[in-house]
Parts: sequence; structure tokens; C-alpha cells
Amino acid sequence: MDDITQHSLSAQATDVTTLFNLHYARLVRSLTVICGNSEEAADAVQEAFVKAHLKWRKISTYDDPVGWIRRVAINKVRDGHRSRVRRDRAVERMGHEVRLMSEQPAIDEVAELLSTLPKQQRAAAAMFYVEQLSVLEIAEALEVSEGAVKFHLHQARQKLRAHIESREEL
Amino acid sequence: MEEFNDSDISSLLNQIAGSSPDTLMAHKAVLGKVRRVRQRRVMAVSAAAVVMVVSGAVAMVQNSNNRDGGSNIAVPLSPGDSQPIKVATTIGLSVTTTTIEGSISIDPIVTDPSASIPSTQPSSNSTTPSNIGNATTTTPTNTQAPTNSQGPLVTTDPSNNPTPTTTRPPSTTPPASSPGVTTPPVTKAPILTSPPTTQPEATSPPTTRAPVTSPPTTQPAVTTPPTTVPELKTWTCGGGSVKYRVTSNGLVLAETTPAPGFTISENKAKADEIVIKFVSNSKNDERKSALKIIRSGLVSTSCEDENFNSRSDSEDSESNDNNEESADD
Repeated sequence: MDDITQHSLSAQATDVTTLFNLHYARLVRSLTVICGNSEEAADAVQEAFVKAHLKWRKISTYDDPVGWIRRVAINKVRDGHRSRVRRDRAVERMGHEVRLMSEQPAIDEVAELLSTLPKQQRAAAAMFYVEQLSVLEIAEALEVSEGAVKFHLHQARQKLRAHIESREEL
Repeated sequence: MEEFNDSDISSLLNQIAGSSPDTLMAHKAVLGKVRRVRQRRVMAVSAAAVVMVVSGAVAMVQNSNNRDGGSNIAVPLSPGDSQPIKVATTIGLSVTTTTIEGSISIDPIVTDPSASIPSTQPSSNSTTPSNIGNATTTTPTNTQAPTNSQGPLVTTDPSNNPTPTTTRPPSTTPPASSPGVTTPPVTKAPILTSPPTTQPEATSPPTTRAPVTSPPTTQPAVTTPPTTVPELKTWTCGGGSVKYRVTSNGLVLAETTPAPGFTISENKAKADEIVIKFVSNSKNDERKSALKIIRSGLVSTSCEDENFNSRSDSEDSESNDNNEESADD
């Protein structure tokens, strides 16, 4: 009995570890595009995997455990974004300027452009171009319809393409 | 799907996403967080268990305290408070109480100011029929009986010779013979026979007493009823002594015993107060004693002796004897 329990625990740990090794980097990079901060994205993905560890018996029965982890991480980023916006507004009321700059100076323009995109367009573009997810997977992750995902992708692509073409003309 | 494919946008966004993070370090961090969360959960569960155990223990202690008492009163009021040492004496008393409740409703001792009755002898009380009546004065009618019978007793007391030994036999001193003889100390038999019309049951007690007196000797030693009888207490003054019980319903006067040369002038027995006054039989003797037992939460007793210092030498010797008796009691 103990052997069986030990085996199941090790198997569970192996499954979570396997998921972590396979998807952690992709998730962090995608969320970095979404939130514009790699550390914040890493923290959100790690929190999501911690929850997955603690609720693995239930999550392992899902069709797409990674999709659950992704949704948890995105929600975490959104919560962090809300709290950050509140903090920035408070700082702004105190008279200080708020910097909306990415931590990577080389791509500040694109990052600034991304920060101007609506969050759904930004998330759809990040998952499609960075994580290489399908429209269906993006729709499940964002809990919207496929048509909505296509719309967000189209809008995001138009804006980014315009920015790239303007740079090429220069 | 293909309409959204754009290598430029993809490369641009991958540049923004940065390089791949360190998965190994991140995995260690995740495992550490999982371990801390589980430790917190275990601590919370163990703390809850400890709280439940402590609260259960506190509840048990409180229940045991409530069961033991909360009794600041010095006298036992509940059946479980009786001392186990007194079980042997209370067996007889309990039997007499149960039998007299159905047969006798008058307390003979209260009505009789005889000075020769031994004040505290529970064992002898259980053997004689008259003393069985002494042990049971739980009904209110018993407390009224003394007031009704005090009149004839006062008239029969003018003799100044309270000789306890000559007045011991209760059966040979009916009320009819009392005027000619000295003070009739024991009026149990007269009381039982004098009111035949009002209390027909009083004539039957002899039939009931016979079986009653035997059970105390034949009953098994360990029975639960003895614990229900409160302890018989004695309070002695210069003019006499009083035996009473403290029950859950209040004070119950069990026996009043005047000292030699004294008689009862006032007898009030209520649930919360007992007042007994003794006066000297002698016309020249102005000694008085007032004995009060009051129950208000705690039971308090008081004794007021008047003119006991202005006695003659002979009376002093008598009073000394009396004090010795009360001391023995």
C-alpha cells in the first residue's frame, strides 16, 4: 500500500515536473509579452504551477492541464496589472511621472506599441506568435470564442504590421 | 489560420519575450513554495486540532466543576454531597422518612419539651417507634403541630422538677396523667392518640411502625436512598438544644430539647428560619435563651442567653451539668 502511494506521488511529481519542463519557458515568454515584465511573468507562471502542484489530483483529470495553468497565470498577471495600475495612479496623484517603459531598451518602441494595444489583442498576439498556439487554444485560454480570437489577432497584426512598415520606410 | 502568419511580427514579439528563463531554478523555487504552502496547511490543521482538544478539555473541566458543586453553601444540599462516613447512620433515617411520609404527619418531639430525651442518638431513634417520628419532620403539618400542642404542655409544666430519668418512659405518661405528675417529657404517644378524629392515620402507626423498625437492621448496607437524607445538626444554648436538618426545601426542625429546668416559650419553624425560645420553669429564675437558625444562602445560627450570670449556686451546678450535656452532644 505504501509502495503504491509512494509510486503515485512520484508519478504525480513526475507529471507536474514534465509539464513544468515542457511549458514553463513558453509560458513565461508569452506572459512577458502580455505584461511587459519578465519577472512578473515568471512569478505568475510559478504561482500557477504551485497551484497545480497543490491541486494536481483534480487538475490531472482535465483535458488540458496546461491550459488551466495558463489561465491561472494570465489571471495572476491581470491582477498584478490592476494593482500596478492603481499604484501608478496613486503615484501620479502624488506628482510623480509614471514610466511605461519596457525593461529592454532595444525594443522600447514595439513594447510601447504593445502596451497601447488592448489586453485581449496583446494576449492573442503573444500566444499566437510566441507560444505558437492555435486559435482554438487561444480561445480556450482567454475564454472567448474563436471568432473573437481571430478578430483580436487581426487587429493586433494590423497595428504591428503598420509599425513595422513605418520603420522600414524610415 | 495562415492569414495571421507573419514572420516579422513573430520575430519581433520573440525578441520582446526575451530568452528562455532558467527552468531548473524556477522548478526549485516552485517546489519550495509548494513545501511552504503544505507546511502552513499542516500547521493550520494541527493548530485547529489543538484548539479543538483544548476546548474539549475546557468543556470537560467546566462540566466536572458544575457537577461537583458550585456549592458555596457549607451544608450539603444535593444528594451527592453527603459524606460516605455517615451512610450507616443515614440508612435508618432514610427508612423512617419513607415510611412516615405515608403514615405519620405529626412531629411528636417538637411538641414535647421534655429534657430527658437524648438529643443525638440516631441509632436509638431508629429502633423506637417514637424516635422514628422524631426523624421525620419534613411535611409542613409537622411544623404546625408544635404550636398547637404547646398550650397543654405549658399547663402541665408548672412543676419545677424536671427529672429526666423519671420521665423517660413515653408510653406511661399520657396527657391524662400529666397534671398530677411531673413534666411529661415525651408526648409522642399522647399526640398520636389525642387527635383520633382529625388524624385517623395516627392510630395506625403502630401497625406500620413494626415493619418499619425492622428494615434498618435487615436492609443491605449499601443503598442509594441514604444519601438523600441531609445531615442532622444540633445547636445548643443554655436553655436547651435544637436538632434540625438543612434540605433543598429549607430548614426542617427535627427535635427540640429544653435543658433541665427549662421549657419552650416560643417555637417557630419555617423553611428559612427556626426560632426557639426557652424560659426557666422557676418563677424566680429569669433566665431565657433564644436560639435562631436562619438560612439565607448559608445557614447561620445564633444563641442569646439572658440572665445566665445571675443564677444561684444550685442553678449554676445544674447549668454546668446542662452545658456538659450539650458539650457531649
